[in-house]
Amino acid sequence: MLAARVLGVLGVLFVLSIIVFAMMYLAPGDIVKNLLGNRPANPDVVAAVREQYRLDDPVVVQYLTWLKGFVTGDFGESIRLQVPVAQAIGDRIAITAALCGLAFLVSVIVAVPLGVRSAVKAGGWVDRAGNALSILGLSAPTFAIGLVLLYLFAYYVPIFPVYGGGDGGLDTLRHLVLPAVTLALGLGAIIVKLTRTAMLRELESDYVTFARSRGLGERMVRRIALRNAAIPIVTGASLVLTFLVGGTVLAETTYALPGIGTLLQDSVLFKDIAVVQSLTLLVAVVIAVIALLADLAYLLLDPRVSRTLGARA
Amino acid sequence: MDGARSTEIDALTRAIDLHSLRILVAIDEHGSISAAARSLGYSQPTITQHVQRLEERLGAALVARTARAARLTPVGALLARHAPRIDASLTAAAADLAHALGRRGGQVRLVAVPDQVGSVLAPAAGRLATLQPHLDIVVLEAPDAESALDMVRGGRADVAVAPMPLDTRTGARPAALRTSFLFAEDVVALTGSDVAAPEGRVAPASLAELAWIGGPGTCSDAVAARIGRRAGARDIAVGRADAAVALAAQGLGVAFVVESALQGVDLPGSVRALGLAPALRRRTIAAILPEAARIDGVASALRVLAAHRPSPVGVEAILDARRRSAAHRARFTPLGGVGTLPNQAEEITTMALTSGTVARTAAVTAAGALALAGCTASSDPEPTSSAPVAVGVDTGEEIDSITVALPGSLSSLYVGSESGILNYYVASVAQEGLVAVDSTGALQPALAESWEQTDDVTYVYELREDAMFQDGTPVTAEDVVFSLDMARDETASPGLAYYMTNIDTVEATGDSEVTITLAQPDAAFAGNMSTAGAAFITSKAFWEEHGGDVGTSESLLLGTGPYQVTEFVPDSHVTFERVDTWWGDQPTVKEIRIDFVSDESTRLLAAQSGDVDIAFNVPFAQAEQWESLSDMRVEYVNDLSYVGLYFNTGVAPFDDAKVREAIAHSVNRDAYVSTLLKGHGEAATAIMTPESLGAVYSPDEAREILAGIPQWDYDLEAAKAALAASSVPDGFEAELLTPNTGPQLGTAAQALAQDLAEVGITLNVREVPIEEWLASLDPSSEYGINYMWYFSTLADPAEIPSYLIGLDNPAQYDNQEVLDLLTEIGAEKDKAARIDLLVEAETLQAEDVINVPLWWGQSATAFANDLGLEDYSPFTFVSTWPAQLYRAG
Repeated sequence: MLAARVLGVLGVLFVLSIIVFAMMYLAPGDIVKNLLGNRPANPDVVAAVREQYRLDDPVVVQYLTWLKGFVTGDFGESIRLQVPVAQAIGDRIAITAALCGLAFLVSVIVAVPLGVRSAVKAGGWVDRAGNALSILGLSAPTFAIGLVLLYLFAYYVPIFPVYGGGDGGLDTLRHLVLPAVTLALGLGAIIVKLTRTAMLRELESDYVTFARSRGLGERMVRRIALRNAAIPIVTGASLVLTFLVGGTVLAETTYALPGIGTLLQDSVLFKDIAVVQSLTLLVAVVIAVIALLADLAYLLLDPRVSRTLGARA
Repeated sequence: MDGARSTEIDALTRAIDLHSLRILVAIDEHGSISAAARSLGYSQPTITQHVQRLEERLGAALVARTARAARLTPVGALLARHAPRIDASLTAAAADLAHALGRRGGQVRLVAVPDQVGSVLAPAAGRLATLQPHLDIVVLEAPDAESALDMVRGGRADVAVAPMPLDTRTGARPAALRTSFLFAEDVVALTGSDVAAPEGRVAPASLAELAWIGGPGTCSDAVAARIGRRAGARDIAVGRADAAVALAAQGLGVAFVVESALQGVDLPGSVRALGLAPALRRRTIAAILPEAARIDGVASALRVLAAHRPSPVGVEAILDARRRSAAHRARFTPLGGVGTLPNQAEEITTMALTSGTVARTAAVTAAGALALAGCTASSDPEPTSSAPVAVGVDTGEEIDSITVALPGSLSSLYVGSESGILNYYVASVAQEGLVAVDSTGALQPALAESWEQTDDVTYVYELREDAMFQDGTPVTAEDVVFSLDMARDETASPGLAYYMTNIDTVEATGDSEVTITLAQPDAAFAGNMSTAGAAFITSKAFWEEHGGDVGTSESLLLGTGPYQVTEFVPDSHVTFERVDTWWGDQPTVKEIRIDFVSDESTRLLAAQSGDVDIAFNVPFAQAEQWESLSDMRVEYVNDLSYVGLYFNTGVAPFDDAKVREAIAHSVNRDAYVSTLLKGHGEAATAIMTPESLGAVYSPDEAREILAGIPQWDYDLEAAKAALAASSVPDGFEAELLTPNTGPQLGTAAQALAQDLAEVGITLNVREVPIEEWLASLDPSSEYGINYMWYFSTLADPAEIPSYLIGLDNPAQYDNQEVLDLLTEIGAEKDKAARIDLLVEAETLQAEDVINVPLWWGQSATAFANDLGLEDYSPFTFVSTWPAQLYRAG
């Protein structure tokens, strides 16, 4: 089962690498011009650069060269940064991971209780406020939220720094609060909606009515309902987590954070194919792993699933 | 000992007076004391007395007397040589004084070779007399060009008009004189009508077998030398051009003369005047003493002379070529109105004259503060800022740290790997070149204590004894050679190799001596050895330790500057710390942190919160908000950038000159500058920036010269007419890409598109990432109209033109005459002469409408109010600028 899944993921990665490589190859822009800048190019210089990066090879050969390196663990060298791709990504992954983790944590901690409460007291003031907030979070663009938060909490009430990644440890955490909240707003909005819908459906189902009629306490009832609503919530949250990758590009630009998002953006523009390839595949792997984790979570959350699995085995 | 020497010089200086110098010159000229006395209007004893007194005071014999004659001793001659220039300076001072006191008057003496007295001097003198009635005009004649120039050198004339030798490619420019290009005329061949001449041009070699009429006054000898023809038995030598023409008219041989020699001559039907293939042109220049440039009368004479155009003669091929450009010129309407004059030649003269002056005034009024900002670059230490905020005086206080906010990230600290303008700014903090560029654009010692150009292609640099890298190791000649070799290497330094292609060898010729040999003479080379060019000196050991990957976050950067890089995180920041290994005075700032903040709103907010001390390249769209910050000021300075449109002549319909003309007429550059740039820029009249002429001309003079290059004025009716006459009279559709990093380029393009829509051309403007725009600059791209946005760091006048109209230019513009001129420019050593040639090349390209200059850019830099910067100029940030920072009180 797991093996089939891994094979499937590998197949997807392979196809993805071809598509991304082809798109990068066809995208407008010329890596030699990007390196030389806007100045008269001496034909010798152009030829030397093209030779150095093997730009005159047929595209298939270029792809195969890259693929060969990639599967043997050599991710290539970033033309733009002049450092190995692994190092370029390694230098930045921590801050993006921290940012995503923090954003996800904030959104789950706030959004799930808020969604539950909205469902329980549907139509109440918490529901209405949560509704308004999630509409705002869903519709406002990330960079706009970022700027508003900057004005509020870095300028008028200067409790957070305006930009940058900090010097590590607590300082970095302090620098990440505003970007994480920015991202969490959009993320949380979806989770609130999902939680509320799932909870509402569970609360209206027969077993809840039955439980209530048996005189179970409201807290107990809610716990049971939440457990049953957990599967759609986890599915939704895992999907939403993958959206974070796109959001980080904007948040990292607004807050001038040296993370994966800005790296991806700059590399795409520069046609730094090696970096883009590794990054997209990395993101694809992360998404696959998240999906796998979500599936594994079903086992924990719903004994029926493990039972069917066990029965099949 | 030094003191003793300086007192001695002092004493000598006091001994010399202008009057005695004039007497020496007169004696030299006339060969006897009595004749000198007569010419000066003194008695003989007075003169003798004067000379004797001077000889006594100097303790040296100046005049050697014989019974009937007197001549100068070597010492006397030496002294006399300085006299004309001192005289000119004094006259300039007197003229200034007269001007200030409201008195007018003065004299200007014009000299020319015989055949140009009538054709050039006479009309100019007449024109000058009407323009400046108070001026006393003297016209002189000199037997040949060299003696005319000598008369100016000797102070016997103020302005010499002289033809340049035809083989200027090797010939030197007149020494010690400032020259201006006046006009060029074709050399024509007078032959029998039976000569085969496709398209009215003939190759001189095909005439070699015939009898040639040569001698002074003709160009036959120069043509013969060029094609390597030996004198034939039937050749005739005559002294005057008209004699040669008359002989040729009688069919006695072939004569090569300049066009103006044919003026007023009726050629019989049996004789044809043919252009040469390849065309050969003789240039005529005006020469003055550099010191005389400020004398009013001389300046006006130059302007009138510059307006002179030789009258056309009936040589079909040449006329054809010229008709195109003359038609252009007629429609290069001057910026102001011009009254109609009866005489056509007169009219052209006036138009050109007015266009220069009016253009200058227009530039001054339209550009307002900017023109001022430009002027201050060389003279005033404190440039104009649009919101003048008084910066306090230097308190001498140490500054612990400053934060600089850049609008984008760097990928590498080494300029060879990434060479954007911001890379230069950052690298200049830590690295130095052999020389440095000062606030006027002149070169100053940096790592090299002194340097010398021993011949056309050899430069010898003497390194500083006390120069050290930031890790404490001394700088050796070997390090310098290695750094330059790496800069020449295409793969190690793709961004710098271009500058170094002309270098033949770089050698360590001593412990602290480096010799660079060029493959070809290049007047612009010296500047390349600065951090504004391609010299970023680093240590060989350091480079090898990191396997050549320098400038990355791992290896950082090692240089000789006052600051050492301590940390570099791409997309985040780079930090610098002051070191004590620098040879210069210790700067006041201890630590510099440069943050990369790519989002402009965030950067502004950071500045509002007081987190930023310096912000580079503030966008004009936000300038108002930056200016309104209470503790920061925004300073504008011309940044040596050029923005213009160019047409790719390989793409239809832009191969049609009429189409290009229609677009050129639709460009409203004054409006772009005043409304879109909010005045922070200057409408460009040429590809060269005025600053690039700074080595020779004052900013005002430079603007005047550049305004003299033909302009296409904003005139939609003319644009419609041009389109109607083109190959696509019903209009067409084209796309223009604008780089996302220059929003002002995008808005200007939109404005242009609106005007073009009225003309009948649909221009689709699309903003693209700068990388995509860069790729579209390739000559093989399918875009027929494109933006050019170029930042020059060296301010060499030839830098941008050689890119835009030189070999392999992005416009696929192939004009042999322009290419020839550029080759000549590369070899020309005299700076003024180079500029003359460049003006000529730009005139040709303007006539062909290849590049349409839009504006010369400015950049805005925001500074904290308690931070001062000495000598802020366009060159500041490409030299060790942190050393110029101070705490303002």
